[in-house]
Amino acid sequence: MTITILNHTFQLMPERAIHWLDESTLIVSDLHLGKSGHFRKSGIPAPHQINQTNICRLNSLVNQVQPDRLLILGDLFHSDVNREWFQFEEWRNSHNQLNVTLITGNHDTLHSSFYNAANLDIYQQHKEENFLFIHHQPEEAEPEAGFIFSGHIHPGVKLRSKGRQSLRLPCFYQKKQQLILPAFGEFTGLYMLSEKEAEYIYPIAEKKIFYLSHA
Amino acid sequence: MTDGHRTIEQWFEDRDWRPFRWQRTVWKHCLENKKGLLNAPTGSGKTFALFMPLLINWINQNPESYQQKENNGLQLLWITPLRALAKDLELHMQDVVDDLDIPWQIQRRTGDVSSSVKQKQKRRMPEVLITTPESLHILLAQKGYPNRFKTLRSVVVDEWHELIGSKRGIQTELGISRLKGMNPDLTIWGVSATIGNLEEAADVLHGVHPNAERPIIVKAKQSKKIHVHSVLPDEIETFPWSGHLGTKLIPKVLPILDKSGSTLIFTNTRAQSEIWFQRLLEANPDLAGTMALHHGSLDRNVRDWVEESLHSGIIKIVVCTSSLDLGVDFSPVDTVIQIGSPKGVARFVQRAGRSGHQPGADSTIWFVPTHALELIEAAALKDAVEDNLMENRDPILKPFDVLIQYLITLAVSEGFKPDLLFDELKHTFAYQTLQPDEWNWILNFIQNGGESLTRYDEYNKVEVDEDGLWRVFDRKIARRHRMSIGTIASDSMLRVKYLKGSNLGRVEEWFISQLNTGDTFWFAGRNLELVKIKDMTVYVRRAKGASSKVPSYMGGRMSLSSNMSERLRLKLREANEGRTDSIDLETIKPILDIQRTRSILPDEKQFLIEKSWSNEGCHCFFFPFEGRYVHEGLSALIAYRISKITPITFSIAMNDYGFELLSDRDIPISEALEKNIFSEENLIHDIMGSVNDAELARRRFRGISQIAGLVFAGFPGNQKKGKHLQMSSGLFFDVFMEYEPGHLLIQQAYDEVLSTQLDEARLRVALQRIQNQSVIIKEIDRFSPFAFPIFVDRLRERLSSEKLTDRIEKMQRQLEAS
Repeated sequence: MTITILNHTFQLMPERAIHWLDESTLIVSDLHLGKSGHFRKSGIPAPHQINQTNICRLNSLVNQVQPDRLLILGDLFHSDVNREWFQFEEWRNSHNQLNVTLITGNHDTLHSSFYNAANLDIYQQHKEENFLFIHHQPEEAEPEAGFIFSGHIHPGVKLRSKGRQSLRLPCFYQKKQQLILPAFGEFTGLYMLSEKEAEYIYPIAEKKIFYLSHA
Repeated sequence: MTDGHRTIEQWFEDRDWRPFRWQRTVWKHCLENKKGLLNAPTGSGKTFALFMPLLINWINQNPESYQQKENNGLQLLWITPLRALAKDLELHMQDVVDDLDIPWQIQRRTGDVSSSVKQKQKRRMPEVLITTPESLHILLAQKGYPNRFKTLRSVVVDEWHELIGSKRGIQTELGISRLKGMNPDLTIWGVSATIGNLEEAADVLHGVHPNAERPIIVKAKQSKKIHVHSVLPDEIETFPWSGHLGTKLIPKVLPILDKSGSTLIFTNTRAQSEIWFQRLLEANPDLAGTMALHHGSLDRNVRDWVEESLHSGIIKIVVCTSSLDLGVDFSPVDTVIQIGSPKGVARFVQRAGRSGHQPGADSTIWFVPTHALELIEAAALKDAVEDNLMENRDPILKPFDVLIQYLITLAVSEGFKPDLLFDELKHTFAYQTLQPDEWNWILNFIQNGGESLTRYDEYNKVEVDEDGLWRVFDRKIARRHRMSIGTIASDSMLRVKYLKGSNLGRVEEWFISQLNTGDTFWFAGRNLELVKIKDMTVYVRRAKGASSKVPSYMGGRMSLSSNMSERLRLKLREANEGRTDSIDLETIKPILDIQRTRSILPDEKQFLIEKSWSNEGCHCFFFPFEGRYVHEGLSALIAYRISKITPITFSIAMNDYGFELLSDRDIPISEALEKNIFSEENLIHDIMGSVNDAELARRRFRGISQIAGLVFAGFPGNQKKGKHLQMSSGLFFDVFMEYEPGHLLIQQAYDEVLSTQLDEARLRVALQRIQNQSVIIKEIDRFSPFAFPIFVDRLRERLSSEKLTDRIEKMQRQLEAS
């Protein structure tokens, strides 16, 4: 599904990513790599395939879109360092033509040498054209000029219908001057957001993006 | 007669008491080192039956020095399910040894004993230690535990009937198996109230020892009469058809309170107890000061105060939950009131037994129905009490989650050798069928964290040391494990505290998350204003005015026992045939007449299905009267079978009388009946299909993942540190299903569904019964008295055979149309 914001074209992808066509940029958020490793190191047997799956998904998405740049809106790595980082580094080395920018999130607490070694550009936030890219925009913050892309929340939405039926789905959540991306990482959980405050909601199900408008 | 006997008999004589014959019988068996089970109710003198033989023996073995010898090491371990009981026991036993000048220490080791006392116990064990199954495992998680149990001679498991059907019972079995592993000559006794399967209960406690004598069962004589009265509404026509609060009958309850001395009012949920407390106060403000509230979420100190005040007569009325089901001899209680269905006969009788403790006194219990149909239950209850129709408490078999927790417990303290431990486990009732391949899977799971290793893996938990002992070396992992020992799954709880300091209790996090600062809510019998939330603590101050918000607590709803549902069907038939002298059935007659007018009142040869439409869609109500658990399985099965005919989405509700399938489109019920949806054919296959589609196993997995240590609730007061290690049980379920479908914990989730909700045997019986009935489909315009309570239930299961994308498109269209 393609949407236009401030005269730029963005493709919302059911892989839980955005393709910014004008800048050949792939935007993802909240990968939480290393999550299984962090659990396992602490004696909790989360299957280690979680990490591998996420990297495979990122890999096929990048190969499919062929962007010049990958922009990550925070929470790339889940917690303290563990060996699963090297699984990411290996992938990174196999894509050294790609520019990778990381807007740091609350989980990104690794020593900067790791990011350097993986050849990532690191920003707290990043302004480009009239767009601000940030991990999380606090509610009380001054609405600066421009449009914000952020992550952090892992947005989900609950759809209801007749017969007391309901469904919970991950979504892109758009409100005034802001679009919140769903978490890219698998097994990261959902945080339900109210439909009322949204302008548009794009739920994702089975490789398809839907569209709900709230006028 | 030995010296010991003489001394103890003299002690009784000094009090003008005489030991009962059954007490002497237990002494004799204990002194002969026999094992057994004592069937005795609370307040019957069971403590003396099991404590005295230990003293007799002690006196006989130390005739000169029994009043001098101190620090003798642990002699008796007394396991009780409830912390509240421990204190009472401690006082009782301490009194005896003090009177006899025996310098023994009697102490508790439970969650609410101060850490300084626990530290002292580590260095020096008292002669008698009273503890819970959880605390026993915490003791086994301490380094050097074998030394502390070296001198142990006897173990008593109190209120075994409360433990046996639960995973706490498994913990007890495991704890005892370890103690027996260190000392095979232990004298072990259980105490149980009357249940349907006493002999099995004895076998479960004592484990599998093919060459040993069968455990002895001693029954305490009890001939207490129980009077059951029901509180009847004046006008059944205006009495609600649904609901579980029952506050409508408060005007009828007040006179009972007036006429009675001390009274316990039992409710089925914590929220219900809060609401009853509030409404009773409103109805009669004079009750303030003489009435108190008691439930499991209140702070221990608050509960202690209530118990003591009832004892000393300061408090006359206590509104409570199952928190007061057990123990504590409330000699002053003379009346018991039960609000709403107790769901089982044994529970009802036990609660009734709280009253009339004086020898020869009768027990009186009032039953307050919360909605019209519960009057049929009242009639069924009276019959069942009369016939002493007690339920079985079925033991759980081979739960892997509890075993995994136990292995880690041993690994953090002294370590274990798999071969020796396997042998111990094979002698427990629960794990007698543990297979070598399952055992190897579990060992691999705790050592390597599951299947296949990659070079990125750093799994860290149990390691094998140079002596072949399996141990946990990581101190953080050990600490986290010790904090999460237990088998009661719980939601994340926040402490509720006054700004000035005193603790009130705990509430579920999700309830507080719906409130804002300044909002008021009703808790611990008080109206409170939320001031702030900090460090997992809700700070409150007293608020003026009324508040309607009462924390409701999640948790499964109880099902009518199969004994009770059988009686219920019987009573319904009596009512239908008009042959009854029951006042309850007489009272409910007008409601049954409405059922007849709007639909039919099915007799024993008829199976009723009511079909109707509302603006929510198409409703089909089925009435098997089999109790909630069976309906959970049956409704999932029927929904699954209909969904195979056509793509359709159901939301499912149920109660003890029947269940409802609701869909946004016409439910093809006639077509479904032609395909014989009640058939036994392909039952197993269809049960498995419905387990998957209704996500029953996924929900079961919640408790399993907590017990097996996958989900970590965090350290108290230090939530942040644990945050990065939190992942919901649902996500774990999904990843295991995807990557390790053979995972034993996933298998356990399925097994638990199949043995409780979808018990094949019970389903088969229900289906057979239905197949012998003629199915009657009634199209109705207005919901019948049978259907209405199910219709208003908001707690629903789901099952769908529609494609996800189709469902979303449908929702989209409906949204746009509205």
